[in-house]
Amino acid sequence: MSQFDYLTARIRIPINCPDELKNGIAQFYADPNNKQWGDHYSRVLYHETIHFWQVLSSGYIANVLSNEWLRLLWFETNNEIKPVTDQIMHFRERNSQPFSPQELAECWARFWDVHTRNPETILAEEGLVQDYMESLNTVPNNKYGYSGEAYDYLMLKGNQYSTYEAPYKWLLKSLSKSQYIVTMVNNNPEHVKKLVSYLAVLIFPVVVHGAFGSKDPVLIYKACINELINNKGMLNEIISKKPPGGRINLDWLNSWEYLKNELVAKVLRHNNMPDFTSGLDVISRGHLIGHPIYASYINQISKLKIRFELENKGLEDSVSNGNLEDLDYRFHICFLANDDVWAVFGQPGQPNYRMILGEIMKPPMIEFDDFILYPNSVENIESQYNKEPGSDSWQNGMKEFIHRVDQFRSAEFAVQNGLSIDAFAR
Amino acid sequence: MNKIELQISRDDLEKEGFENIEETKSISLNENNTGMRHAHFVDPISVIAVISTALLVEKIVDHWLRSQEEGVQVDLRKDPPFISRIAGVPYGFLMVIDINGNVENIKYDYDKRSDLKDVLNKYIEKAS
Repeated sequence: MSQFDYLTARIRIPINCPDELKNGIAQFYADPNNKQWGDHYSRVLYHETIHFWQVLSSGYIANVLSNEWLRLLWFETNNEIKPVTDQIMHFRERNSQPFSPQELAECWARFWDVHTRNPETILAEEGLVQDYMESLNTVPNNKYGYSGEAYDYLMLKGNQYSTYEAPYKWLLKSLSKSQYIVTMVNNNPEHVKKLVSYLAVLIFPVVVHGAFGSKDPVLIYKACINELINNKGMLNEIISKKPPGGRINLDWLNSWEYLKNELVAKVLRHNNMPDFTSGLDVISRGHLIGHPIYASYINQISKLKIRFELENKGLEDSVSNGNLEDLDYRFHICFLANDDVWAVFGQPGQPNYRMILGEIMKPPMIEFDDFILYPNSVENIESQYNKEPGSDSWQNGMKEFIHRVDQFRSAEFAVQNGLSIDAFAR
Repeated sequence: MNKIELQISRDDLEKEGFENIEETKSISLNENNTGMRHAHFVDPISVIAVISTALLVEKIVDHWLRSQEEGVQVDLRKDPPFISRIAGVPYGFLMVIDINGNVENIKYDYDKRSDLKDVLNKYIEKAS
């Protein structure tokens, strides 16, 4: 089964490793839809990688993980399984909300895997083109980006549709109910649908990213949407910022600071919460500092910042040499990353951000059916193994740590089923 | 032929090629997952399938325990019998709960897989 294992940060992809990937994973993040990597499972690998980046960028997820890490340490010290903590339960349970933080995290990963793979490509891969055309009386066209209709259709009706998309469905529904949005387009149902679709895809990344930097992602996510749909001035401001033409990558960059400061930050303050706590903040200041994998990534953030400073310098040099091509987009990509490096994790759908995250923040282990990829790295990730990924020490360290986690999981399963703690001891 | 309920990932179901599936339903993220364990590309499913005992035993022993190195749970108290590849049974173990609720954990051993098949056959026949 394809999965991301939170405690070990290991990604599992249930196919043989494409030969070309065995030379290194960074090339995948630079061009995830390259046919060399196959089709469907490229999307899966990207989705699972996003979960890894979520741990690094979300203080909430890292805090939940810290609880799980302490349960493991307790087992190793006391040979006893501690019950699941309230914080872990909070992650898994809906807590009287329409979806749980775990479902919102899955929706967050789904949002980017659909965007990057391209909804119209997925429609073809999943055999949904006919149904799509009949439902919407339109024809998919992936030659020039994709349509909001195709995106929404997949999020709500795709073959992989599950509880993961519930938060997005809730978002679309909430926006549709806004009297201001309806009035903006003179009650025209088709125009309402298009505007709602656009607003949803525009605001979801910044809101969910900010929400997971808080201690209660679902509460903040919902509060942000409720604030927006009742704020005529903000809706007008967002629409007025939209440049002519449809280029969502540019719109995300353009609107990020405004929405972060005027919407998310205000909702956080209203709920007496600090602005944003990243996963690496939690990892570096709390119990996860002893985690052999995640703690290895703490120093990578400064490398990420330096990399974007260099990108900015490269842009300046390029402009002074007279290259003004696509300047607006290139400027915003550099400016935002230098201003707020966490925005890079919030927009992994930006090709430039994804490529650089794939170079500097690559996952520590990707396990295929026939091959385990320990990403080779030109950056020297400083770990307690004191070796970079791809080296023997890193591989042995990962194997040793996975063994520790397996022992913990075996004991946990035994206890949960009323068996003795060593029922599955090896 | 036996009717079983099988919990499995969607990826794996496609690979298994079951011919007689009567019902398929998603398993919520809130079920079957206790601590903070895994994130998945899509949540797993539960299927009601009809399968011969011989094929079921072969799949459990030769495919899932041996080739896939999984842990498998067989709960014969339930109707239809419940089999899970995703319950969290440690890899390399078969956990059988018989009709009386007694639990037996059997560690997969390549050299004793015929014995394991015999044991599993007896459990299933007794339950049917």
